[in-house]
Amino acid sequence: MGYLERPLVQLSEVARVRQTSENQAKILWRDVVYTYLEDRHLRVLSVEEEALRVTLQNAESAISSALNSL
Amino acid sequence: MSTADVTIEAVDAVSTDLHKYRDLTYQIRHEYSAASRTILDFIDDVIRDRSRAAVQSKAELEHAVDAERRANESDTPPMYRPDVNGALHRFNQAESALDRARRVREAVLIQFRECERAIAANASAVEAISDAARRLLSQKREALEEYWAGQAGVHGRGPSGSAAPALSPQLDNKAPGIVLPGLPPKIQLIPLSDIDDSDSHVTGPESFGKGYSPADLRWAHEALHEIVMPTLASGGTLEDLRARDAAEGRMGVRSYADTYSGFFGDSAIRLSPDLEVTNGYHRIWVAKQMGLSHVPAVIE
Repeated sequence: MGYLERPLVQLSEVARVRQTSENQAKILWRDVVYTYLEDRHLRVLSVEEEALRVTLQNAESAISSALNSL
Repeated sequence: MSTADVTIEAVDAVSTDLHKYRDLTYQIRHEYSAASRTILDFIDDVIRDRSRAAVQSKAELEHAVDAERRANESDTPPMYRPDVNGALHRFNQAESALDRARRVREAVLIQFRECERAIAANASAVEAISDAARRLLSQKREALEEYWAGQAGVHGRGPSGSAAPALSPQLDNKAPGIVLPGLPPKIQLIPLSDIDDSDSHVTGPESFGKGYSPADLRWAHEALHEIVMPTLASGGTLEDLRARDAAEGRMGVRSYADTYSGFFGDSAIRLSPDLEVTNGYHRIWVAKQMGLSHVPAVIE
C-alpha cells in the first residue's frame, strides 16, 4: 500500500466524476455547452488532475525511497 | 419522458456532478493531510526512539571511558576492563541512525511542500473553473426553460412565451433522440442504450473487412464529435469540411468529408421505429467500445 494511496484514490474518484460530467455534457452537445465545457472547463480539469496525480505519485515514490533508507 | 426533460435533466446532472467534483477535490486535501500526518508521526516516533538510543549509548560510552581511565590510574589490575571500542562503535551507530532519520524527515518535508503547493494550485483552478462552468450551465438552463415556456404555448399546454433562444436545441417531442438543426433534418442523436442491435453479426475486430478497420471507425466517431458536428453547429458546411481536409492533407476514410457522408449520407446508421438496427452495426459496435452515449441515426 502506497503512503499517499488515499489521496490518490480520492483523485481517481474526482476523475470519475469529471468523466460522468463529460458524458452528461455530451448530451448537451447541440447547445454548444459540451464544446464549451469540454474546451474551456472539463479539459482543463483533466489537465489539472493529471498534474496533481503526477506530483502525488512522484512524492509517493520519493517518500517510499526515503523511508526505506531509514 | 420527453427529450426536453432529458436535456434539462442533463444540465442539472452536469451541475450536480461539477458540485460533487469540487467537494471531492476538497477531500483530496483532507486525505492528503491525514496521510502526511501519519507519515510524519511515524518518522517522529523513529527519531524519538533513536534519540533515546543515542543518549543511552553516549552515557554508556562515557561510563566506559571513565571506567577505563580509573583502571589505568589504579595500581592494581582491574577485575573488569570496559569495552570502550565497543561502546564507541555503538554510539557512532546510534548517532548515525539518528542523523539518517533526521535527513529522511527533511527529505519527506520537501516532498510534502511540493504536494501542498500542487494541491493548493489544483484547488484554486478547480474553484475558478467550476464557478465559471456553473454560471454557464445556469444560463443554459434558464434558456431552456424559456424555450420550453414558448413551446408549451405552441403545443397548447400553456401561454405562448418567448421565441426559442438562439443556442437552445430544437427538440422534437415525437423524436426518441435529440434533433440537431445544424445537421440534416432526418438525423437524430439516439442513446446507444436504447438501440436494439441484438441481431448484430459484429462480434469483434474479426468482423471488419469492408475496407475500414475498428481504428478507422473510432477515428470517424472522434472526428464526428470533435470537428464535424461543431463545424455544422457553428454554421459550417460540407464544403468547409472538405477545405479543412485539403488543408490537413486528409482523404478517404480518415477525412472529415467522408465522416460527414458516412454518418449523414446514404450510408447513415438506420434504425426502425422500434430502434432496431437496419444499417450501421459496425459503427454501433465501435461506439459501444468507445463508451459513447449517443450515435447519429436516421429512423425510418
